[in-house]
Amino acid sequence: MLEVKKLTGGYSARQPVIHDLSFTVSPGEMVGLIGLNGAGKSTTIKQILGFLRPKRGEIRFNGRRMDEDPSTFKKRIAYIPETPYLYPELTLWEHLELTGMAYGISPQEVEKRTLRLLELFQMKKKLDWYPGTFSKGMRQKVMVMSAFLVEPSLLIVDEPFIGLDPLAIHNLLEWMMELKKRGAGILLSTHVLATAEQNCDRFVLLQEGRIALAGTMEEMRRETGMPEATLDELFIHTAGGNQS
Amino acid sequence: MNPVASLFRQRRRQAWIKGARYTALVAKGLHFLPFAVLLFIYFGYRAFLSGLPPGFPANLLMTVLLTWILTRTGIRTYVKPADPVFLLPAEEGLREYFRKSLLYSGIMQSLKVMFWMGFLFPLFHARLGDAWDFLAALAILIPLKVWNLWAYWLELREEDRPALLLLLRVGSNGLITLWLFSGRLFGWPLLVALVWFAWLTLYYRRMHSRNRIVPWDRLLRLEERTVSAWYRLAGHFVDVPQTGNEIRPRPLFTPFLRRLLRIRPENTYLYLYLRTFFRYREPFGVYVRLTGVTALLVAYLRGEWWLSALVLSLGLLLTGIQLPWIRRIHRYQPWFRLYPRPDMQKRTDWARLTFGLLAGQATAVVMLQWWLWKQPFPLLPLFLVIGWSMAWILGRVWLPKRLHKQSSLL
Repeated sequence: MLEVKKLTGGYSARQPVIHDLSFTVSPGEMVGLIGLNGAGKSTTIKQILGFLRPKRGEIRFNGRRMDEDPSTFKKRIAYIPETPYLYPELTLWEHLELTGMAYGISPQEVEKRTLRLLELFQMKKKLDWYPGTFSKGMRQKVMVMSAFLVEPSLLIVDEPFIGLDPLAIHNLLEWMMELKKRGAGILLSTHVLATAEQNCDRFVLLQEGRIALAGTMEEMRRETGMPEATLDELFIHTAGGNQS
Repeated sequence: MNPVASLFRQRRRQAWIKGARYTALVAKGLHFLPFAVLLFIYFGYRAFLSGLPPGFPANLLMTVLLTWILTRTGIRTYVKPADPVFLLPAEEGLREYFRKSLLYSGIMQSLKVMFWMGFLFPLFHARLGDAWDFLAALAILIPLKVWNLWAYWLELREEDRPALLLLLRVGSNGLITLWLFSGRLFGWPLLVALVWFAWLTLYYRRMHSRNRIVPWDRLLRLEERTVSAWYRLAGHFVDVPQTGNEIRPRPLFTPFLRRLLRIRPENTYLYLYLRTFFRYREPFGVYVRLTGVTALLVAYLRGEWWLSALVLSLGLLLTGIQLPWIRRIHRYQPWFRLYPRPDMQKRTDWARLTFGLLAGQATAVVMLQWWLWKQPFPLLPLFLVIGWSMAWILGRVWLPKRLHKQSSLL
């Protein structure tokens, strides 16, 4: 589904932030993108989404580069950014209606999907509210709901748990698992390692813009020689060890 | 010197440097516009003065304008969102900081009064008095402006009755300026005014003694409004990354917005742009104001049809150059960049909206003349054609091309 091949890039062509990254996300798979602050997780995501142009390497979705057919690529992905950017001039309902419109979902279908999402994230009473009155968690919920409304083939999520209440985190994870079961691929960037370990199938551990460790839990344990290690321990071993 | 107190000077300096840089960039991109505006002001003002009927109430016009200029007061504090956290412990320094801010604002606001009085001098001289009377009027108006600034500074702390305080100031300013421009102030009315202002000053002081907390929220909001107004203005000519603006839900328009468009992918960006236009404080406010002013000027200059047509075109141009903001504001929104729609649609939807708004404005201006002009034919239909053609050229051709050149991110 998603194939990142020898990707090098960043904000400036002279000073790349990520170097030679190669990994894949297959249908029905959740891949955890892990790393310290500044390791290059968000930059990698921006490269995949096409917000930044790669300096070297390529990104393919279902075998095709994004610039070959941007509309089809965009139609099948959804993105939940780390910072909840909303349109201050749109109500919650209008955010969802606009998303449905952009992705060509019929108004009846938008209404049906919205009802379920509103119940799940306890936002039913806030349908006509503007984001100015929302807490950070509520704003994050709007981003999550809009992404799920699309029912994407590839979901890219950057630090989704910050600001969400425990029930919303639980529901978000359940929904991600449901999406995965339906065959969607998920790329999840997070610092909440226990949750990542429980839910992700494979991991890509970034260190100063390079892949320091990658694979399933079993593969990473074998590579580090720590057969009983948790993801937390593997992370500290790799990131902390290299730092010292 | 106290570091907090010197912070004001430092921030003022930085703001002026930034302002000067933007002004230089704006001046480069203005091309013919300043000449058109100067030409319009010159001919418009001359036509206005020469066409004034003998009984024209110049004193009332001056009263209304000066009441508005005196009451509408801005305070530059240069406060930043982090200040309530970092500057709060420095109480003494803050007092000095705000004293400097008031002094600076007093000077700037006095200059504003002088500028407007200078602009109104030909009218004053033609109808109300000689140069000495003019200087006497300035001697009254400048202290009155400084008093208004002080009163407004105290009003900022008063959340409970802002309407009453505003009414008190509007009424007092209105009465003094009416007496002044009717030539009746210097005598017993001056005594009454002095007693009244002494009482008002005591009233404000008593109010202030009850509430000495720095109104950070309001100061930050005002500062953001001032800065964003400037950025928005500059943003029409150069690429300005940061422009704040306030949301006004305007629920009256919601049913209209709901029914206006069919919910389908081809209308995605138009759906968003329409709400951006109707629900942000500006450029909707500018659109309404410019429609009103253009309609009034066209009505006033109806004797010179070519001047009216020029005013109509200029009104549309001045409105049109405000509208690219509607599209630019969204460029860093990740969703806006990810919607699976052709990139070109961002531009065409914006052009559809701009043409619609400008054509609507032209129609509103022309329709308002219908009741004023004794013989609407054949000039008014011609004006409508001129207005719509101008709307088409601006909305569909010139502005989209200009906007596309300015930013590669769109």
